[in-house]
Amino acid sequence: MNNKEEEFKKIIELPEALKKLGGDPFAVNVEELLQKINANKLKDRVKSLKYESQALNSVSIVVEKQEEWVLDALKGLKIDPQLIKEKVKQMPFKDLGLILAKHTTPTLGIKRISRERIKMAVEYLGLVEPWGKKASLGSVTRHENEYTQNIVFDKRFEEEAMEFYEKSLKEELQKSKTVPYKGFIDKFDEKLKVAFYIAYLSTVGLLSVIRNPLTGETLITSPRGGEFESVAIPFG
Amino acid sequence: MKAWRYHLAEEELQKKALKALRLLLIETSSLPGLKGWELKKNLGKDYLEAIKVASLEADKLGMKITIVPDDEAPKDFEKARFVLMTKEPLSEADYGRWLRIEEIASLAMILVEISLRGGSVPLEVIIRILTEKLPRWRVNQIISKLERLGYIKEENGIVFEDWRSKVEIDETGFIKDIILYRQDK
Repeated sequence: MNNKEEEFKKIIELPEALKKLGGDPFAVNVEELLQKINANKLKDRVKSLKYESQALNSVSIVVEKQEEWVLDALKGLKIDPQLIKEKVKQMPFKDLGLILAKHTTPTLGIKRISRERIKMAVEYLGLVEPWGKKASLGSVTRHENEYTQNIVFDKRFEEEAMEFYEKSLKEELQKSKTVPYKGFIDKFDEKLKVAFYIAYLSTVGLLSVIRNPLTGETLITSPRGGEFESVAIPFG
Repeated sequence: MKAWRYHLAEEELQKKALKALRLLLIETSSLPGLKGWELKKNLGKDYLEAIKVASLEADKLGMKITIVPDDEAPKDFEKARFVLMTKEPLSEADYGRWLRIEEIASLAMILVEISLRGGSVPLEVIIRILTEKLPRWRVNQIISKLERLGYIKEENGIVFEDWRSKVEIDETGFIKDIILYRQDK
């Protein structure tokens, strides 16, 4: 028996093997099998046709088993629910989200702001400073808690933050448009202090901290305003 | 004369249908859509006829009108909620505008749990599962948000699917894809 015949034999015996081992029929790549059947032509045409038809029959049995497997799983959840729960736990957030989104047709609705709310917003906007033009925060002189004790020494916080920006961040932001927040902070020993600097620098409009909604990654970018305004980041 | 009257009625119904679409599209409360009695108040007694015509108009725009029955009075149209929905599921580019990624994933995990437990799950179980992935404060935020949006409801410490999950999500297809999911894909 040559290699091609052996390949055919393996395919023909697949349904029996699946039955004996009780394996997952989705472990079989049907498309690959069909390609193999098409490629494996024997010299003896009659023999070739016989093997081909037997192999195709086996593939159809596998496909049928796949369908049965899904139906069984869906109807009675005959597969171990614990297995599904574990699978879900291990799935990346993005994949879980994509699967759910694929089966979601959302309700539509346009949010409307009432006249009263618009009036309130106009009044409020009249009171706040334009974005990025926030007045100096002033120096912090008191050591209020254990965090600030480690951050504020004898030098003005603002000066330190500006110095940090010039030395460590400005060039990096000019080189690449975005800097991953976590990766950047992790480069420093005094992570909390650096986080404070970044928060301060975003309030004075030297940079923005945004979150990519798809990946959940937090990024430091050149200053942006409007809908791209900085987000608050939990630290720890 | 009769034909002229018929034409007028038809024109009136068409106007009402378009008004119904506008009403359904603009949210007047924290929840989308309107209750049947609100539509009746705005469109008149024949509001269900207007909704039928509005459905045809919505279809042309790739939308559909869905009626969500009230739990306590499932046959009462006036108590049912009428919502406008897309006909096609969300695309990858769109879902960022729907919920945040961790909120979608949390909803997915909750729905799987509810489904595997036959329709309900203790709140503490949901909290335990989600806190394995997210900080507790975020889990609380997400649960409240999903509850507020109508995706889940909690009664006496038990969590159920709410109207929005039932209407928006094809649960069978979703669970099927979870079962068939392979990480190496």
